[in-house]
Amino acid sequence: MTVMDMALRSVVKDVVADQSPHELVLLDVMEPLDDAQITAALAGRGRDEEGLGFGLTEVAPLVTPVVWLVLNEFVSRGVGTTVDGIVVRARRLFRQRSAQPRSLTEPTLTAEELNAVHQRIREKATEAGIGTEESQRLADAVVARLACGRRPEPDPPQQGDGQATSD
Amino acid sequence: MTSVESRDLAGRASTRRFLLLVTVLLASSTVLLGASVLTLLSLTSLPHCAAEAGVDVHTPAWRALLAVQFHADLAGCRSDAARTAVYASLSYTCLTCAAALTLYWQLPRWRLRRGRLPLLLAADAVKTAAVTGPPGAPHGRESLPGHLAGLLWQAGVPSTSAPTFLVDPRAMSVGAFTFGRAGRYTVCLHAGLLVRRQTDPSRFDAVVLHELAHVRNRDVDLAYLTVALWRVFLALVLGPYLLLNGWLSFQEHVLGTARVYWDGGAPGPASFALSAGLVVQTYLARADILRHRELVADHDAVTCGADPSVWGAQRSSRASGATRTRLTRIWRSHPTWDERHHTLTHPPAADKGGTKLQFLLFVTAYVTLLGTLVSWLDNGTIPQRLVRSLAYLATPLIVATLIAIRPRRRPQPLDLSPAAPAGDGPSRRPAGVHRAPRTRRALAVGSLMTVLFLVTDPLAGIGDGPTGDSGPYSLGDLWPVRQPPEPPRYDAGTRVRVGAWYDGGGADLLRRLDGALSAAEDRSTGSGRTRRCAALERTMSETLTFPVFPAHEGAENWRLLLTWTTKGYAIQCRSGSHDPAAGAWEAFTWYRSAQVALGRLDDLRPATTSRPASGP
Repeated sequence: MTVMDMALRSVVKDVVADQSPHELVLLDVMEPLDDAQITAALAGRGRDEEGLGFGLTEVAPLVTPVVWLVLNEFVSRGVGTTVDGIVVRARRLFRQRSAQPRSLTEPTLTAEELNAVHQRIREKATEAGIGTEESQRLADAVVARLACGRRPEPDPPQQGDGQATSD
Repeated sequence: MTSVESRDLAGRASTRRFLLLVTVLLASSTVLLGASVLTLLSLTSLPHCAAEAGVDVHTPAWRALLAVQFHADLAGCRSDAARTAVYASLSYTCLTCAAALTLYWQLPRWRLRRGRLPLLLAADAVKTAAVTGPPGAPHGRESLPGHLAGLLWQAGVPSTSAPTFLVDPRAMSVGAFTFGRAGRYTVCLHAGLLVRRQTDPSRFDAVVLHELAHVRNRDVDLAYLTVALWRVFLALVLGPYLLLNGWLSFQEHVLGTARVYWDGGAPGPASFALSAGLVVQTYLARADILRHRELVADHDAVTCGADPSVWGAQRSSRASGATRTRLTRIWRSHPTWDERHHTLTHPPAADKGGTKLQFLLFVTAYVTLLGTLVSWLDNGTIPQRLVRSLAYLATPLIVATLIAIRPRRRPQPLDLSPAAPAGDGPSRRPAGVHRAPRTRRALAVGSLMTVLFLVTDPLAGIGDGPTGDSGPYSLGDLWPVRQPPEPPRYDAGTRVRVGAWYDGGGADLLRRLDGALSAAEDRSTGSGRTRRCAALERTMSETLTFPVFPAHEGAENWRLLLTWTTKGYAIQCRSGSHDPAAGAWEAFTWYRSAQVALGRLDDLRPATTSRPASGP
């Protein structure tokens, strides 16, 4: 199985497109920013504007910040794992966006690493107010994306033998 | 569709109240700054002036205070201090205004730089989309620029005021807010709202139309001008004033440091009470004004096509905490959802007048302005005619505001005819800045009163004499009249000191003062008055530097003698009134009271001392 270059935002975009496509507009708006700026923007706490605002305080839990911040945390600190080399390898996998991204031939993440990501996604999603089932589905989608190394293909139409194509 | 008058009542003269609030802040600024300058000059120039005049500022506080106010040799310093206070306060107030305008102008830029909010749609792009795209066309909503441009057109925002749209990715709430300055408005959509543009379009439209109503109604300018002015006022005026007064009060009351101040520069509890009142007044007034601007924005949003059910969905069904909500509600800049929905679905059909809070805030603002007026008149440095003219020019604003918010026993019905036919297109736009008939009538009445005041000058005569003093008409001051003299009971030592006081010039001084008081009671005007005032001032100045009566039985009479003499002198000889005879009777009563006290002192003289012949 070959591994393609996985830019952080590419992974996030794929997952968001799959799980919560209406949030893609948020990523589109932040497209001109670099990864560090996006991380700072998503991690910061919104100001409580008492001025000329509409006054709605209802919070809409979004998956984009959850996925981005967890994967960014994983790149930065290895999601709390103590296995040596994870951070170095993860950083190579999620190389910062540049004008000419380079291809890599690194191996995929280990099962332990994927489990760590899965757990962290569920934790963060629950903190953000996303329901348990949705958090589970989101974590599965992120792990699936990381494991495949590219954007998951849409499910093919069901055939008589029920076999799906694979690459 | 509600009428223009209903919209007007929803706002309840918020623009006028904004302007009144700004006027109060500027007027208060001059008073606080003037007092601060006088306080500083009391610490710097007053000791030097007093030393040159031979006035001992460390003598009993009451005499030092009278000497500072009335001693002839301190007149030059007094005038200089008053003039410096006036010019400094006016200049610094202008500087405060300039700083506030600068802050208002720069604040949006700093805010954008600090927030680093991703740009959604620049103002020019919005204008382009609004011009090139078919307005209100359904397919325009598929793209974000087209959708926003369509809402701009619906809201009737002129192209010159087209805002920039930003998104705050940190804010997960389904809301937005508006900020900026004239010609550079910004609507910031929360990420939670942006992602719901297509899944919950009615809410998206309602929020954006509400914010665009703020832009169109110039709420951004008023709100942020007030914010800028208030912050600058706190930093440059009220803060330093409280620090200075606090430090000096601490020194006086805790450390026991006694000081004498120029008239109007003494720190005390009144200064803190005034400051606290000003803070509370400003916060409550601003919050109340913004709440009503929100109601008007809601009204305009619905008029432009927003779905009122968006507001209805936010209504709280909780019954508990109602009392706490009422108490805290007056401090918040947003009305409750119940109130907002009720105003939309049940627009006012009768004018019941303003709320009690609004009327109370108006009264406190008016009292503050009156206090400022009296302060300027008392100061005497600014020509009184100028001060009165400025007061008259503020009449339209004050009268028009009072007409709008005064409570009414009988609600007055409104004309609820629609302002514009319903339907798509520009005709759906709200009434905008068109004033309701009530507003026009209120401003017309106020303007008429200004003309009347300028012609009749009803305030002439105010500030002709000392204020805040109890008049001499109270029995406690005039009486006791000269009681039958009682022989003084001195011990040996006191008898010697008292005798030395009389023989050392006290008796002569009492005689000359008696003569000056008798002459001053002549109420004729002209050059004779000027001479009498000068003679009284000279004699009074000597009295203020003469040692205090050395026995308890006479010290109080000595104090009353000087105090009442100076009061009469202030009325007769220092008033700026063009009619010197106006205060003559009041001055006369003070002089007679002073002579009663003088007579008591005469009676306390020991029999062993020689008595000079009495007479002027």
